Amino acid sequence: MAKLMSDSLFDKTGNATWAQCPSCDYWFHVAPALLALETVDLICPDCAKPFAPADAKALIGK
Amino acid sequence: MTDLRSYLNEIDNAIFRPDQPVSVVQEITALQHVMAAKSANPAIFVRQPKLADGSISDMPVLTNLFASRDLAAKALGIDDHRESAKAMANLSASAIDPIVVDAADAPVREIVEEGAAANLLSLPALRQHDGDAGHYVTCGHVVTYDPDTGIDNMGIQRLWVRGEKLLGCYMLETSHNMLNLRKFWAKGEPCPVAIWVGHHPAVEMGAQAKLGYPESHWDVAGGALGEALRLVPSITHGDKIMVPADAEIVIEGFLPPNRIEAEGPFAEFSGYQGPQIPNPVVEVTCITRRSDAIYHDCGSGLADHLVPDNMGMEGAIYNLARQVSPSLINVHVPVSGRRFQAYLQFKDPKPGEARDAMMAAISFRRLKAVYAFDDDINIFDDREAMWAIATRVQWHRDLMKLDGLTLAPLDPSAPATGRTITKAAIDATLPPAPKPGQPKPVAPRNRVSDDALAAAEAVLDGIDMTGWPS
Repeated sequence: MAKLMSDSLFDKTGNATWAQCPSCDYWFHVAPALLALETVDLICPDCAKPFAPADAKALIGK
Repeated sequence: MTDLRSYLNEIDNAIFRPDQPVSVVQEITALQHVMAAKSANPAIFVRQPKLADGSISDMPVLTNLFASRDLAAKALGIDDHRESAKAMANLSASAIDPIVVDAADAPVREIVEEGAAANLLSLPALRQHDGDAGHYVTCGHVVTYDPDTGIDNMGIQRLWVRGEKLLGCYMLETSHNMLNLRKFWAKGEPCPVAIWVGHHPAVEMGAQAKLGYPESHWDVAGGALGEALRLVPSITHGDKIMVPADAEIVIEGFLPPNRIEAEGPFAEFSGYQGPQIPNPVVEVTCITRRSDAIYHDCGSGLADHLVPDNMGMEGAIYNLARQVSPSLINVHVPVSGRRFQAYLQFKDPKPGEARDAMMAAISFRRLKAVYAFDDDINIFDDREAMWAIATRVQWHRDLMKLDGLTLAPLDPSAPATGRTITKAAIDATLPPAPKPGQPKPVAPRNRVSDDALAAAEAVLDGIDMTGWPS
C-alpha cells in the first residue's frame, strides 16, 4: 500500500534539475538530457566556467 | 521597397524612444515588463543601447515591435486583429514568388565583414533576464535548406552569443531546421546556415507561418507583405541559401557535424526559465548589414514574443479544426495561456461538432488545452472566457481528457520522465435551441438595452477617468 501511495499520479513532484557550479557555487537549471550525455560540459551562466556533470558541486533532481 | 524602416515611419506615433542610454543587460527588457504591466504596448527604439562594458553601441535596438496585437495585425494588412486566424490560415494561398536582386541593390550588403572581421560582439544583443546564460539574438530567423530538394526552411530560434564567431543555437528536435541539420550531419557534412535579423513585420510573421516539410517560406513571407520579397544570395553559401536583401543584418556560417554543446538557461515563452540543454552551435563565417543597421530584439516570454507566433498558431489551428467543423468561426491563442491554450468559437454548432473540432485542434503539438465557446462570448477577453467556463461547464459532461499526446519540451509542468502528456478539451458552449428561432434552453444573460448603453456612453463622453479606482 505504501508503494502505491508514493507512486500516485497525483503527487506533485516537480521536474526541474539543478546543478551547482564548482567554481562560484551558482545554482542553475539544467535539463536531464544534458546531464545524461555526460561527455558534454555544463557551462555556468554566472562565471562561464565549463565543467563536466560529474564535477558539479551538487546536482538536485537527477 | 518595403522594409523595417518604411514600417517604422508608418507607426511613428506608436514608438517610444527613450532619450537616455538604456542597458542591454536587462534594462531594455525591464522597460517591456513595466509597460506590459501598464497595458502599454508601443514599439521601443533605444537610440543609445548601453553595452555590458558601459560603452554606448552605435547600433540602435528596436524591441516590443510585436507586443501590440492590433499593430501586428495591421502590419499584415488586417484591419481587425480578431480576424487574424482566417487571414493566417490563408497565408499560403496568397503566396508571392520572391525575386532575386543584385548584391549592389541589397541594403543588407552595405557592410560585409568576413573572416577575422566578422564579430558577433559588435551587435547590441541583449541579456534579457536574470539567470540567462548570456547575451542572446532573439529575433534571428534561422535559414537552412533540405539537401535533398534544396528547399529552404526558416524559424526564429534563440541564439546565444558565446564569442566573436560562435553562437549556441536552440533547435527543437522536431523542427524542420533540425530535420535539415540531421540530413547534413548524416553525410558527415556541416549544415549551412544564415540568420537574418530585422525586416518589415509582415515578412517576419509570414516567415513564421506553420508550413509542411519541405516547403519554402519565402513566397509565404512575400504574400504576407503583399509584394515579392527581394532576396540576394548569401556570401558564404551563394544561392543555396538566399537572404532578404532588405533585412538589417545577416549572420552566416555552419553548424559543424555532431558538435553538441550546452546552451541556456534562457527565460522562455512560458514565463519560466528554460534549462541548459544540449544543442548545436553555429560557427560564424560572415556578417553583413546595413551601414546604419537597426538591431531587432524580441522580449522573450512577453507579448512581443508571443503575439506573432500565436497569430500563426491561430491560422494553423483554424485550418485543422475547420476541416471537421463548418460552424467554427474563429480561433484565439491568448497571450495569457502562452502557447498552451486555444479558444475556439462556434456559431450554432451541431451536436458533437464542437468536440470534433477540439479533437482536431488539440493535435497541434504545443497545445495542452482547447476550449469551445459560443459566438456571444468575446474570445479575445479572458474575463468573458472565464465567465463562460464558470457558468456553462459541467465537468462530468464537458471535460475531455486525452492521454498519451505529444508534449511541448518547454512546458514547465511537463513530467520529468516520459514523452507524452494528458491534454484537455473543455466544451463551454450552450446547448442548442430546440428549433431554429427559439431560445436556447438556458437562463438568459444579464443585459441592459442598447439605448441605455448609448445613454451611459453619452454621460461618460469626454470624462477623464485616469486616477479613478481600478
